[in-house]
Amino acid sequence: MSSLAKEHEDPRLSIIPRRLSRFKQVVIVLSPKGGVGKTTVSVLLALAISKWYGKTALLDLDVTNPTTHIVLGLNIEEVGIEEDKGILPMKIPGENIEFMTIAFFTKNKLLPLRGIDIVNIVRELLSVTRWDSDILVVDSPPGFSDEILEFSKFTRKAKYLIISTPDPLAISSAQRVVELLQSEKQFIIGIVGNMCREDRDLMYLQKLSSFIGIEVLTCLPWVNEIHKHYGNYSYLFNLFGGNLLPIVNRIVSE
Amino acid sequence: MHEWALAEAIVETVKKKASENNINRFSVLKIKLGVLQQIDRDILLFALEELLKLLKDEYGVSVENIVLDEEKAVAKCMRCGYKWEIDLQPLSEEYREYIHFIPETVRIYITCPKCSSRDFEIVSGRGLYVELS
Repeated sequence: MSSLAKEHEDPRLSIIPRRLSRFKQVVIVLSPKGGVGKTTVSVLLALAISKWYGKTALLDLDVTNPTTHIVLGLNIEEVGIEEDKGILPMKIPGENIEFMTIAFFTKNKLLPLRGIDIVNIVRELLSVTRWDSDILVVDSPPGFSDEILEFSKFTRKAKYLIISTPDPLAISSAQRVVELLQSEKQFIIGIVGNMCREDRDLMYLQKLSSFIGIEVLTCLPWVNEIHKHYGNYSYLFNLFGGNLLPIVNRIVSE
Repeated sequence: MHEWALAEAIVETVKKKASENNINRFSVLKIKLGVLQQIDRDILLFALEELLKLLKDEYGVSVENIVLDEEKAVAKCMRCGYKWEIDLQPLSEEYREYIHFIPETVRIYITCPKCSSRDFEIVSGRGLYVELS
């Protein structure tokens, strides 16, 4: 008993595994390189799973500079916070998706954070959010730092979907993160090529694929001025949704 | 009722500690309440009492006393080193609510009183900690 009296426990650590245990699948959309399309793929993947499988949860894990809500077309200034024995994720109107982001609390402001603050925010969001889906898609920030490390320690179900464009910087980044995940015996669903313009782009990605032994599941085409369609996710889904079917099948069949 | 989710976390910790240490009775559950999180003590206590009743009924684990101990919110600037007690009163209700949910968002609404930096450490009084005896 005396040893207990000296311990200061963070209660969030006890509840987070229970909160995440409701998910049958947890998919972390990942690339250490920024600008490869993680957020767009995360939103479209959540949409695809929700349409072809069922209710899907989407979490923006970028707590410093979240942007998933922009692709979803939400006016973040007008989104309120709903509570019921915790914080309820936002139901995306007309869709079978529930969504959580730090932007509900920071609105359009940048939040300057050091490592321990990021860890605290990830713990806070995971301990008080009451999800109601079977599959969680996580849009991760660039890099491989506190957000991803802290999140993934709470669930053994996490599976990684690697995003890469065909350029050497993104391919090199994808190779590094795959090597790291493989060394930890983590489950990698596959690679999603993005912004592919020519046949040789697919060749570059397939070369990476054969080198690291991870399949390229799909290659999303380059779209001129895609940023003009951020917020109109239905348009984006019509463009790319079909390409995501192999990924959804792979996730759902696991 | 965001406090309910936090109470669930506390009770889950009691359950885990009981199991890890093969104990079914704790004399004191002390909860440190960081001022920054602005926890509603009455709601937290209500939720704790309800959830502890369930814990006793379902797992036979009991807690005799709950002690709430408030901790001042103190920040230290990482640029100029200035240390101060954070005062949320001048902020709007909306901003205080965001800080209630996610205390780290305080950096959006408050800067160092000496050098205006938002790069400050929350030295104490951020959120909840529990101590069992």
